[in-house]
Amino acid sequence: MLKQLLTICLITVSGLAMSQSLSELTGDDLFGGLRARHIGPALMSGRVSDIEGHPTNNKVIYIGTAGGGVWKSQDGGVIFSSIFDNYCQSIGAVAIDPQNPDKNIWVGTGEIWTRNSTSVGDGIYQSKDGGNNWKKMGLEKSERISSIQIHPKNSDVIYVGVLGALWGDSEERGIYKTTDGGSTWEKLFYIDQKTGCSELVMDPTNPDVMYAAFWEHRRTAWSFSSGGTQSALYKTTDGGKTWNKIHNGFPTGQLGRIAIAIAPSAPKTLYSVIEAEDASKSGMYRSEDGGATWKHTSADFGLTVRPFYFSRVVVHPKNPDIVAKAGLFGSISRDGGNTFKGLGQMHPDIHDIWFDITDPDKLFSATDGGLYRSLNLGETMEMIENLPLSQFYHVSVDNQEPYNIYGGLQDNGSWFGPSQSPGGVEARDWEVIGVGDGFRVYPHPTKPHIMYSEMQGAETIWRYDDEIRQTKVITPFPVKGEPKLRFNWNAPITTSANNPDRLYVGSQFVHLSNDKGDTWTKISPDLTTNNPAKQNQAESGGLSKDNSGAENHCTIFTIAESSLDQNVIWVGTDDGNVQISQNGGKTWTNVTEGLLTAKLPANTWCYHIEASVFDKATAYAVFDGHTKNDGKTYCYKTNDFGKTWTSLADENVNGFARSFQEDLKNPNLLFLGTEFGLYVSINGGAKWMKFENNMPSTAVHYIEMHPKTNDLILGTHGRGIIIIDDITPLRLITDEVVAREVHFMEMPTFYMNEESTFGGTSGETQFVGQNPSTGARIAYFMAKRHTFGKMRMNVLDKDGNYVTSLSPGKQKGLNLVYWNFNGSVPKTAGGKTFSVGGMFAPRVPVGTYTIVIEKGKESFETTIEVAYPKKSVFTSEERKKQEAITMELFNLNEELAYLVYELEEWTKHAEAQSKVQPKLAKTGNKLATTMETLRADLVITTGDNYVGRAENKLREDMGEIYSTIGGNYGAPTVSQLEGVELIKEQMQSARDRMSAIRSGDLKKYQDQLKKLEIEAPKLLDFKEYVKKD
Amino acid sequence: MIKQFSTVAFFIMLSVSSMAQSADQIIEKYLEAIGGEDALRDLEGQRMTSHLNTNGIELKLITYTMSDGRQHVSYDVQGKLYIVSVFDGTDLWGVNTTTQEPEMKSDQELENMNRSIEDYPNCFLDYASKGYTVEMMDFEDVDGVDCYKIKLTKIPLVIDEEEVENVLYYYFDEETFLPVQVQFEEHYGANIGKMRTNSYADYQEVDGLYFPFTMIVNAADQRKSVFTIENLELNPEVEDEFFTFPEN
Repeated sequence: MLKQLLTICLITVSGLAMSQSLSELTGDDLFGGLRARHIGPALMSGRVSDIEGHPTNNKVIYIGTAGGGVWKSQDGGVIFSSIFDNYCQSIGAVAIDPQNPDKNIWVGTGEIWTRNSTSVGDGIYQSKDGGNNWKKMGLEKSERISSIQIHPKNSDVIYVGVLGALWGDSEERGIYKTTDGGSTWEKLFYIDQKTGCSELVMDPTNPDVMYAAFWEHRRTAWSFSSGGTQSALYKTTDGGKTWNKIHNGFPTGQLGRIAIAIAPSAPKTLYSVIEAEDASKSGMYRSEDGGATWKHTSADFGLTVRPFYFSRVVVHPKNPDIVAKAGLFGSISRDGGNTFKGLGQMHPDIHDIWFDITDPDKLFSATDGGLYRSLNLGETMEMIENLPLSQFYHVSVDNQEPYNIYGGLQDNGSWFGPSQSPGGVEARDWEVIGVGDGFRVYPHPTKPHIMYSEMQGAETIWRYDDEIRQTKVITPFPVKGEPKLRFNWNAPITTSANNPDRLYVGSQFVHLSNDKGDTWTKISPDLTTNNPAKQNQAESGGLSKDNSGAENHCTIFTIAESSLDQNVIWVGTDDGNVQISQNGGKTWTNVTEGLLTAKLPANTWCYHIEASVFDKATAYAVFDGHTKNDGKTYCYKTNDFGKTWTSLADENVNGFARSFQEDLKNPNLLFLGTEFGLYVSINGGAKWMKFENNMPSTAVHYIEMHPKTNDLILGTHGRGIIIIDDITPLRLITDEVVAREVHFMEMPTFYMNEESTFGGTSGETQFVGQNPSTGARIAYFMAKRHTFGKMRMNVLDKDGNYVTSLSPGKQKGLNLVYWNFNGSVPKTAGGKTFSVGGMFAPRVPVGTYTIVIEKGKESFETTIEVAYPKKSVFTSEERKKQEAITMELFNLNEELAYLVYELEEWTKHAEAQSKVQPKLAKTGNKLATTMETLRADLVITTGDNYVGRAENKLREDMGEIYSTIGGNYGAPTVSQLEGVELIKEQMQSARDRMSAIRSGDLKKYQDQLKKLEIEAPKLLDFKEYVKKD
Repeated sequence: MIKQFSTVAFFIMLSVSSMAQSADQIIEKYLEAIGGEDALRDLEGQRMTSHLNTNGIELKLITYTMSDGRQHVSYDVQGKLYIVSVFDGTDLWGVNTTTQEPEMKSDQELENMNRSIEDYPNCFLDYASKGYTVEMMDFEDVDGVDCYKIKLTKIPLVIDEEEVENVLYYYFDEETFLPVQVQFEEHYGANIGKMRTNSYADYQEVDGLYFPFTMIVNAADQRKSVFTIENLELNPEVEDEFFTFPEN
């Protein structure tokens, strides 16, 4: 059957390929081998929202994260692996089926720690194989799932607590139940459009008994409200049919967020942490009778602080008096909740705690800065170092080689680190350059040792000089006669492509400095709507006041100076204005009307404006409506300084938009970052394709393109920095390219890499970011995946001589094959042990090389140019000398190998014939002994590959000096040259000894063979031998 | 023109009809495509010489696999064979590269070898009688190819004295029914829980049976290795001693 199929395929391949056009292709068809690489970092990690352990196997632990998906450990919390890359990365709850805990895992998306920057969920998912495969099981509009409780005796019966929409009214809240494994859902208990289920727990001994906390709350872009008359704690004893408030002992008045937990070892013992109208009544409550009565045990700060952010209480699995409360630092009580002490030192802002089920002293803690582990019940904490969950708000790059990446993170300061580093990008490669929450970080455009960073609400803006490690605070302050400055939580700072000392900062005004922040000039009026109703942040928080600056509104959020004209400045505000100045800020024009005409809803947050590098009248603007409960994608382009706008988003894009990047060379190549991943358009926005090659569906908060490397750098809010190296091939894809069976892309000159490979000090439990390949990247597009017959790739020199073979990619779409500039290894003599030096393949000389793909009976080829590094201490003459001596030694290795081969073949023959031909025994044995004596001087014939190794012989010494000189980049040292002379002398001695054998013992043996009419061994000639595998 | 149309029409029909395939139908077509179940059952073993390219290092790998479960895996460095792993039906052993002395493998490795000996000549051949199960999972795009995703559950592995489910996810080309890719979970060390991917290409015929002559392994730590078969001999003659642990 395959033969028939093969024939059909061969007939149709060309036809199918020719009919293929760009508009028909999906991302899967096109991106092929172009993959993202992750560099983390993990040293500050990111927010972990939920921890869930296997009920009987303490080696298996799952964590849900705020923006980095779900991770699983199978070794007790040492190594974690991401298992949810393709789905929404904001996680509310993870649950394990007690009946089938190895396989049935449920994930409720949508984080429930409702800070201003929290993301959104898109429903509930199930895995039936421990997390390898997932299926969405509904509740798509739930936005935030707080709890999943699975019936202990029936895996199809599941109760789900839905907190629901944070930013607007929603009827998809409350408690849902399925009795058919998630195929259908019944809304079991619902309060109103503002009140959702913030916690649902089940009695481990009786699944009909459950407790549900309901929370009335609402967030807007400018305010937050926690609490109301509808917040309450409920209990059911009939599997959710009826629910009753259990407030006997609770404070009266309005309530806010309520935490609830059952002591697993004594299910009548409950703990609840309450946010009360009367703050003195807030804190821990304990019930000994299943919630019938409650007693207030503590109102410590550690229990009551910021209930919207910290509302998880957890009871030890075996001791009902040990109870831990998430909080600013985390608290633990050993006396039933009466008194608490802080957990050990770790990153603040603890969201969940999980006690090990078998080790009474082991616990894990989920924080804003990753996951921590304690082996002494929280006395001291150690960080898990392989969770790259960092939540960047922004990234920028410098022009160094390799370039550095700068960015600020949620509650984790501001940092910069290299895009690559010997041994991989490690934790030690990153340098902190700002504290608090970090946001926009920029290097000075021409003096990269100078950099700018800020903390929340521009409370502080720093200029930092990394050469002398000095900081200067350069925040603009209000001046006499002017209103108070309003800075966004994530206040915009930006540099200029036209003036390296220029710096912009946005409050409600645009502030300009041309001296690196020492002097500020206000160059705009208030560019926002300046709506007083949205400026009462002192009242924000609801029952617990929470005026952190996170709700500051009516502020400028993005500033873009055109690289083509410094007088063209674009500004976008968080309350939906887009304004432009074409005279360096002297006058401003509000161009929002054109956007509203193009169907952008009024007051939609302008998240980013990208000034085109091709035309100063052109710009792109993306808008985020999610803080108005609007999750649509808004992406617009103008070609006339904002008078008119065209929508670019299509139905392929999912999620509200946050970031945008125009390619620097091809105006039709565009990149769009949304809450659910990265999208690429290669036709000016007419069609978008999701990029999924090692790119999770994480929120892309900022995109930068490096002008020298053409790398795309993504600041993600949950998976750290992700880089797509050199996107040049995407610029070159056309209808003609995709129609060809094999099309080599135009490639630049490839420069060899001569940097040291020293580095790499991290252990296997630490995250290390991937480096890019340093070889020549051979790029080609294939119209169809290669499946049948041979497909090989060879490298030939300018004269057509074979250099080496490479392993070609065979995917449909782009294929990228990396060549390390090495030729083939020399044929090396065999011995008892291996010659390490003999495994060395020499680097090729610079020049033109031909790449040939042999695909079935067809052949495709292109040429590439290989050059020495631009920066090097070595001269061409030195390199030529190095190359010549390396190849001389390469040839000596092969000559020696052939000599040893001859010795072995004749020895084998002589020994075998001596045994069966008595007349040959004397000469045969003598020949064998003579030859073996010589062989033993040429290669190691005893010992092992470690400390039992024998003394080096000629093969080993030759291999060592060959690989040493070949591995260097400059001319050989005098000592090395002396060593080469010694090797050559020894080789000459070997030749002489072999000549003597040929004219002596071997001649006699050959004469005797002839006389006895015995066939001589058939030896390969030298050329045949070196080609033989 | 008519011929071209009928060929394309055949493909369209093949692809439309294939939408409703069950796992067993796909497996049946796969086994038929690579030469048929009878031919596979007649297979007594194979000797395979392949090139392994891993991070720029090239090795020659020689593998014997016999239908009775015996295996011999070695690699050739500078003309000398280094034995990686040998199973003679009872013992599992290898040669320590450093000392060059033979050593028995661990009980766990031996147990897992015993549990996988029926994988040859093909793990899907008579899979139910081996205690394996299959499940149709989904349709996915792999390397730009529309594929059926089938879950193969084999006999559990033994890891640290506990049984661990042994699952592989096969992606069969919807047009040819050939596996394009296989994914499975790593069960050891720092890659525990991460997925490893083997991609198959260059299918070629050997004595009426089809084999993928290229396998690209993307390990969980992102390292890539490419195996390219240079020579594949079916039903080789091998002496019993070849597999026996060398007592001396």
